[in-house]
Amino acid sequence: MGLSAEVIAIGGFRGELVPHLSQDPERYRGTRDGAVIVESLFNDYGSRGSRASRELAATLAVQVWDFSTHPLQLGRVDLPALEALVGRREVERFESFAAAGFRFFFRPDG
Amino acid sequence: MTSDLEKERWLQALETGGRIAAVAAIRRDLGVGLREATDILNRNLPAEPEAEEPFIECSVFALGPYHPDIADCLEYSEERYASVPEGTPMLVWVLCAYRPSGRRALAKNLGIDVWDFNAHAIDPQSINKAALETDFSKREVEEIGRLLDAGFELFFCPNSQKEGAPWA
Repeated sequence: MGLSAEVIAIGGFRGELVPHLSQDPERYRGTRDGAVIVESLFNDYGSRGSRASRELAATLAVQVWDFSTHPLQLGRVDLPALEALVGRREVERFESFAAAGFRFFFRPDG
Repeated sequence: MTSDLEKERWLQALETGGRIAAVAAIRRDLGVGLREATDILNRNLPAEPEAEEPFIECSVFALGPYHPDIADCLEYSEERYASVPEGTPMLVWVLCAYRPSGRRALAKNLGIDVWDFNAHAIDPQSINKAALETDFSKREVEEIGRLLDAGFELFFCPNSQKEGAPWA
């Protein structure tokens, strides 16, 4: 059975995050700053299978099945290596959420 | 390897309780996560005939501090969590829906509106547990209650993929 992985970001909404969010901008009309929202990151790459999921985990400095490492430590993320896997746009999303104080959790499925 | 007996049990769950009941049965039998159980269901059992609606992936996550007492409420078998220190923040995928109609029902039973992001941090007092048990197993609803009692919070994610169609 193959492994897949993603990162779930949880944090407070801010208007400047809208270009980085999953839904069309009009969906967020009326959303107050600070409302807690959930976003998925790196799913496109992490759904490519076990090898891709393990590569993703390595750039994020987590162990796939060590749940104690799944809350990401931002200072340990290898951003250049991550960008090589998922592309600049996804890394920009990640950095935008990080700057807004979101928390990130690695999420394996397999 | 899936046995014929297991398949028969899942098919019975599908016929009596729909896809959610079948996924719950697969999770119980194989000890796998929601997504893997859904994949197994799709590979092994016939699709529902009314599957006209587009596929979406709506999720409810629980986030809170790990404690061994709630290890059996998590996505994988308890032994996978044996070395996790108490208090480690733990994200758990607890509920899901794969069609817009199922998502609307799920949101209603959680006391929220699908597209009101102001309310996606779910108020436990707004959950209609009895209604939730019509789509999910009693055990799953009880596990959510135990996670809440252990200090977890629930968060609704309407769809991890971008969508803009008017049917949603």
